[in-house]
Amino acid sequence: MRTSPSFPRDLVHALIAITLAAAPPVFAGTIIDQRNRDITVESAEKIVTLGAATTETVIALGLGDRIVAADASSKGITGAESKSTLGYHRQVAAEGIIATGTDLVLATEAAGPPAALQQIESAGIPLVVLEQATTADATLKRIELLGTLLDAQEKSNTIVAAIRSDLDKAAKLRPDTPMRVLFLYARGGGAGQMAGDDTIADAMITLAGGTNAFAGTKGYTALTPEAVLTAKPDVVLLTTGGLASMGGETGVWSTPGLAQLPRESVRLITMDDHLLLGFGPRTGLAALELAQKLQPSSPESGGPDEQ
Amino acid sequence: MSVVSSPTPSSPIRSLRRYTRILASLFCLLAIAVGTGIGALGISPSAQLSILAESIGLDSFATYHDPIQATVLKAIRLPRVVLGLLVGACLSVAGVLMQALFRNPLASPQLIGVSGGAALAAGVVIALLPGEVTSGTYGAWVLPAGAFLGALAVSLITLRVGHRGGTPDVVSLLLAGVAINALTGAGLGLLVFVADDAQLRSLTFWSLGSLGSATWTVVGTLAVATSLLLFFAWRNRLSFDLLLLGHEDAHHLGVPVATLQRRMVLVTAVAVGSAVAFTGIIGFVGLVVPHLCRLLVGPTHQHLIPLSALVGGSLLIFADTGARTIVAPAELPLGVLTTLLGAPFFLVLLARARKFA
Amino acid sequence: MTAVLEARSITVQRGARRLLDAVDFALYPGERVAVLGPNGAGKTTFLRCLTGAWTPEEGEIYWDGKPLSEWPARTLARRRAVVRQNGTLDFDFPVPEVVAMGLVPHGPKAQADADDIVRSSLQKVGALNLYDRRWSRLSGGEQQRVTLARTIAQLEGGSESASRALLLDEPTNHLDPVWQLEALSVAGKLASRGVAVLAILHDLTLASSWADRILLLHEGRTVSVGPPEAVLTDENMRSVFQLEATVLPHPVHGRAWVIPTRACFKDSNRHPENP
Repeated sequence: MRTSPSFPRDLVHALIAITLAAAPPVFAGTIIDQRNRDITVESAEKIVTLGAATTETVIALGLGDRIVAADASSKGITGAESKSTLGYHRQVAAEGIIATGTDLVLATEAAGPPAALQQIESAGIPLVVLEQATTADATLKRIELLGTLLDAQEKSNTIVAAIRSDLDKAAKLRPDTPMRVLFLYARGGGAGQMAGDDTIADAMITLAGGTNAFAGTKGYTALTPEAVLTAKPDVVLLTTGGLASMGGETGVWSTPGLAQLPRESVRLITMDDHLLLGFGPRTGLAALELAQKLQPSSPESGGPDEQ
Repeated sequence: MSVVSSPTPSSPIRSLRRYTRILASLFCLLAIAVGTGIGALGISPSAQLSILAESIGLDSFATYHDPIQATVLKAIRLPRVVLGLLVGACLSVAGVLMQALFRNPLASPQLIGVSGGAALAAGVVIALLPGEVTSGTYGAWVLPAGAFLGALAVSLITLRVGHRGGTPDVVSLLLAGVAINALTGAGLGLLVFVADDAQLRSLTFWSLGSLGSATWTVVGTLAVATSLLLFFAWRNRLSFDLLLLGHEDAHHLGVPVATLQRRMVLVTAVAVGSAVAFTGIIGFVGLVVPHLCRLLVGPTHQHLIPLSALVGGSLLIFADTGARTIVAPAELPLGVLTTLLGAPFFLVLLARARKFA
Repeated sequence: MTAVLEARSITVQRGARRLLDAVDFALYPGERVAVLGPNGAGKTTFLRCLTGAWTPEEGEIYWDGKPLSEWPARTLARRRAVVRQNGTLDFDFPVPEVVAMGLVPHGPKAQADADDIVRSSLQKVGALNLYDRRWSRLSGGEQQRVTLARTIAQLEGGSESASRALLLDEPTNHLDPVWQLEALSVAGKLASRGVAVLAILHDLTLASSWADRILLLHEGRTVSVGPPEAVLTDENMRSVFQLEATVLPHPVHGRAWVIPTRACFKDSNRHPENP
């Protein structure tokens, strides 16, 4: 548990956990969520998850069938496609969520509007606000918190251990001179964006042993040829969805800026959208996969000469 | 100032007005019943009645079982229905005022920059302010406060610019509004450029309009703003008729034209600004409702104002009920629904009017 | 007798141009005054100063002896009505309500008898048959009559016994001659009930047949004030209207009958064939 360090609280939790161990999965009394509030959760048979990473984590903990509804961004998570009926997580409907009969709502800091969240709580439904993770540590913390909350600590520990192990493996693959990686976020029609600091893509690149070629600016910036050439990337990273929306590899290499990159030394790497940017339970897996793809001798490095 | 017996136009007009008044009131009651009765959470009519009975003290009738239903009905649905009524009335009557100000049935509050200013300010709050500002105890009020101030500021600028030799001039006002709307649009464009993906979606959803922020506090705030507007509109209803003659003729009939025009812009800015601050931008209501009501009872403001308030409020409740039930448990943006319904309706109105012209 | 409306030495300047130059004029109760002059003479500007729509740069307008600026707009509205060239009412009001607009300055007490006043006003202009109609469906002439009815309601709808005035700015120049005669006839009847009437007109003969006095303006200055035969002289026709005209006594009403014969331009370089 990574809430505020407090032995008495840990003890209480442990005691409750032991007492309840024999009972069907219900949860460990009170936790402190991201808003620094004590939340007492009594049952979690019908969970509402807002945020793809949260949804994915709950499914990974083996409790996917307890999810009654999720937000629209969870549509891409296997196992939650048909349940993602709540719309955009920043604009949820209080009555809609209450009508699902939920007994626990798991949200992130980004969820809203505030009035709707207040109304859900005033209907007596516990609302747990989780941190929106942008670092590996935060993700691990969240998985552990959810494990405690949903009384699935064994599973959560396993997941955390697996992530740590994968991250270690990825770290070991890190070359002496890290690869300069430029992540492009594309939604078609040529309006691509480059990931700077404080983005999930940036975090993933670092975890995979690379270095962000476009460091120095926070957040995403619109793609400009000058910036691309100044960045001098060794690798251009895209999601599979992004690649498709730019018209495949031919489309990418004909984009101004990218077209001028020295093809012999620059590679194009793609990864699944949710895997790369989810920052959920598969973070370790994603980092390792990316690290492997970044290896100079990796067969995955698709360059134009291999078309 | 109540008119004891206004000049009675012909009987058909008189009876139409009376029937329309009665029908509109019934329509409004129906809207309230439907809005309260229907929602994502099914609550049986008997449960609803017993919850309402309990809230007014008739405890013996409290036969419902589920406290969640009571919370949903009293804390979520009821304030939302009342908010819908208030915002609908506010936007419609503001539309009436703008159409009198510009002497044009195609005018709407948008022309003075109210929505543009609110949207720009909302963009600033969403895209530029750090996240810490909008969390915290008063965080939820930052966005509405910002949007309201933006709406007011931009309207005041439009008023100031739309002058000709010291008095508000309708043509200058219109041109100023056009220019300033263009500027706020450009400002928004810049904000869109610097915003990240999440901020962009937030801003988009805000601008599409929703009654989701309806709490009793918000309802209270808007009740004040709408009352101000309705009181002002009713008090000056005769002067608005005279304004339609042209500002010189109105002046000759004793209307303090410049002062009245200024006040019309201000009151509209405050009232619509308050509404937009909490609900985002809900389109077409300020344009279509006065138009529709004018077709039913004529342009005389004595009849137009109350009817527009009733019809506007009722329509918005119906639209919102649709918005929150069609894709339940999610919600359609209200502004989209009102435009989808309003625009074709408007086209039909225009077509019929041209046929008879 | 005090003048109802008086202009004392009013000057209106627009940039370098003087639209009105030290114009003096007094309007008395019960009289009919026609303001004449060629285009650009300043007639409309003069009227706008009289109604308070425009403040002259120099000089002052007086109503009933007191400066215009000291009168509350509402009070003036009960005593002074203005009919302008073209109405801009684009909305579909029922006719009785348009007429009733004239009663608004008189406040709630007048609203109680509104229906009677509206009907009698419409009757006085011979438009009672338009009672059930709507404004936007009326013809130009019908709209003008309803506007006059509104004016009558405004002037006679209250219990004012103070001086009243009616000012008209070429109200019919885009309509058939019959409406011109109509309008002046109604205005004349109001004059006989004590209202001071001032009308800007274009038709010289019509003005002469109707008016007690004529104010002739030219290039912002008063050329002549007086009864029609004194103002509509050959000399004035030439110098003001650039017309060679024959002025005869009209066979029917005996007043001046102006018959233009040919143009007579003052400067040869204003002639279209002499650039």
